[in-house]
Amino acid sequence: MINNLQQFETIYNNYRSMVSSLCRGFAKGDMDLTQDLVQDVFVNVWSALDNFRGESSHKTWIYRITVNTCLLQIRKDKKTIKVALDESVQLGTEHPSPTAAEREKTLYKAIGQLDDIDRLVIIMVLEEVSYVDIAKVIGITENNLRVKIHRIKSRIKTIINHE
Amino acid sequence: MSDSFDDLSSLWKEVKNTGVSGTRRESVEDLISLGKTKQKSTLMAHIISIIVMSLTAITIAYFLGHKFPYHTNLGKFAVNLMVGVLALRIVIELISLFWSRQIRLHDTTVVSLKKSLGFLKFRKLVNGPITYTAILVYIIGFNLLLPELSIYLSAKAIILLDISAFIIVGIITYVIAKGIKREMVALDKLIDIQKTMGENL
Repeated sequence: MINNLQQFETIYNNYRSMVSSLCRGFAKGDMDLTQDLVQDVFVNVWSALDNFRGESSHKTWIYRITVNTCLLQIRKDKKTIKVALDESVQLGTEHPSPTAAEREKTLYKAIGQLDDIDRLVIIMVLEEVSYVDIAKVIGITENNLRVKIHRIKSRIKTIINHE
Repeated sequence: MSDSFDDLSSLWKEVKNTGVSGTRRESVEDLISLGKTKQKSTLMAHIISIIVMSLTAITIAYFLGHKFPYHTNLGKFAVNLMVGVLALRIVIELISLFWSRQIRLHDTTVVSLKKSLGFLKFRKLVNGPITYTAILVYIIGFNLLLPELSIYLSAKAIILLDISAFIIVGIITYVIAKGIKREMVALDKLIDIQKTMGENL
């Protein structure tokens, strides 16, 4: 029990930022939902800690719990994730001096139009997680993942160019 | 394509460091306490259902089968029918409990999604056709008891019993229907996610 507590504390301190980034991207920048998701993830990490066998790295294991917690949060009565889509996405175009908030809004508008699972995959890519690790998280082959990522990138290009 | 993605990548890096560090930091003790409560509450919901149904079955079997035994074949059949339906529902609840514990969030997304979908489809079957059939059989059993019961009770008491039974059934049906609706929304969304995964591969 003491070992579990120490292990959990270490995991929380080491991976909180990583989990927060993924949850925030999934929540399209909604900080309240991000907080809820991060809390749920670590509650689930604690509950699953006895089942950690070291077959994968802590990082992969926690990413799996984070992705699954995000996807399965739809089973709860939490608010639906919404993002305003009435304004144009203008990535890579010249802005006189866009504020940080505007830049953030632009980012979440672009990835916010992706499907839930695609959004989670692309956030891991943006987080520079290796394709091998993402494939282990999702449970598909690396080749299939490459095809999937290629399609997501094409979709992002369409979103950005279309707006 | 790479230009668009490179722009997105640099924007991600820029945005990433804002806000995240400002999120509320939970204490480890609070998270553990929440984890324990969650584990207990999930288990307790199933256990309470099983206990309530078991007590009802035992009460019916004891009072109607032994304490005040029914003498007609119709009455005996009705008691067995009601207890049998409850026993079947208890077995289903135990299967449901076992199944829900097979969903492990540390599995891969593909596996976790497959198990969650299987579980929700099972719940759809249990909460829908199976439960409604069980309620119907229970009502039939209850009404089969009435001819023998009418020997001991007045017609007014029988009518009151019947009305109260229908009110209870109505409430139960409403609660079940509401629960099914919520679970079906989740099921549809999970099916969509699985389709998205399939289409992209």
